Amino acid sequence: MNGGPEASQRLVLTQIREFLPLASAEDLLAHDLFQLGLDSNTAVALLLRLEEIFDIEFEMGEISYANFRSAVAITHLVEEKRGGLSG
Amino acid sequence: MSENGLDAEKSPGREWRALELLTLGLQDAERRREFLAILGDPGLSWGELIEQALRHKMLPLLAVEATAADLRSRLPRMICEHLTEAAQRQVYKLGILRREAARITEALQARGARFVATKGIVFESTLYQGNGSRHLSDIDFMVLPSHRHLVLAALPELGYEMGYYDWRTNGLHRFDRKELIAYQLHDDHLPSFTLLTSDPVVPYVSLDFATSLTWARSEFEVPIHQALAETDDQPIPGQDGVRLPTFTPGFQFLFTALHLFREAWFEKWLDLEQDVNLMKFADLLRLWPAHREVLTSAAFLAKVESYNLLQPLLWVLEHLDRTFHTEILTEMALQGRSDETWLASAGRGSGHLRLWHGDMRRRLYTKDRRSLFLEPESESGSPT
Repeated sequence: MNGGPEASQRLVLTQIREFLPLASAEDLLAHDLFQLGLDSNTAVALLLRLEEIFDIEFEMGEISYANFRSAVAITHLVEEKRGGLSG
Repeated sequence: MSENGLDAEKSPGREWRALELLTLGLQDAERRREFLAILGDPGLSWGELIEQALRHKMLPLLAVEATAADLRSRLPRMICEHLTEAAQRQVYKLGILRREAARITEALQARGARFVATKGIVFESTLYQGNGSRHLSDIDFMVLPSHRHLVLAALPELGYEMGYYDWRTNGLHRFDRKELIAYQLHDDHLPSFTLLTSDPVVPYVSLDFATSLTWARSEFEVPIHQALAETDDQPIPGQDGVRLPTFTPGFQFLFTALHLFREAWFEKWLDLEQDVNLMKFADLLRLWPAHREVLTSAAFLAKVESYNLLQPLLWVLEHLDRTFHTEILTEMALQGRSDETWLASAGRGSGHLRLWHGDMRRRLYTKDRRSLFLEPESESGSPT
């Protein structure tokens, strides 16, 4: 996958909206995803979907509420993982 | 006649009354007489009684009380025989759980972990006479989140592995990556740990370590470092030299009430058949008189207010008072503060509220709990 942080963020938002279809992009960027309705099952499904879409694998130590509570935090983590793979 | 289009379950009979009496406890002479009369009634449905006892985790309590010396002769012979075996099995299981609680306590204390035991392993000897009448399915602990690593290091050395017992294979189900991810994202508990024992009666021991008195990202929370700042301890029957660390009475009561609230609040527990049950109320009904002085103190009530716990506490105690005809809220000077809509509320996983029919007594004896819940409304206010 090509594209910088902005492209990653757009793709992250697209994936999140699959699980929170009623939330706008603005909502997703401004609010805690779990307060918007992400629950145990959808959070796991979202994480696995992100791994598939971006061809990355999150380490257990990277998986936390703090890293997945917002679209911004998720995008940051994804970019870190992608940056690490491309060396 | 159905209510709101739902088939109303018939009013509970003497079988339910027997379980209510067990919940309240039989130390009261009048309650004990009533219990004896019910069990001696030839019209009693043992099938209904035992089914409901199982649903409410009360079979050990029923077994111990029903097979007491003054009652045994009133029971049908095979009922008496099987209840006696159930009571004996629970005593045997308790011996194993106490041994493991002692081993775990020693191991964690040696590593300097800050933790307490909670729920059944604490209550069985302090509130239920240590006679096997308190149901235990696992051993519960609570640990400082910053000491999780100490638990994760200690348990494998004791033979415990991450996973749960699988009855189909008589072996351990190790968590797959997806399950471990769920624990990471909702970090109010460590993953379950299980020890396979090779014991034919008790093939496994399961451990549950919580790191929160409520749940991850709850609007109701008790600062766990405050809850664990000072702890009590108690002996473990049959395990000399080891004392089980426990909450102090105020936090003990708060956690027990909040745990009941949590399991009554979330819709997901309905599907897991872990919705609120009589045993949870029984614990509170026994904790209250044991620690009344602390729980009616200004200091305790100030703590409840400072932690923003009044609403869940009112929810639990109002339902308890109404169902079991106690006056705990009055004794706490909190009477009349419960909102009826709040009392009829429950939480969906998405954060919206749902309402349920009837009172807590009906909810407890109803077998199809979902039938009591109203359909959720969309944000626009129309039914979805």
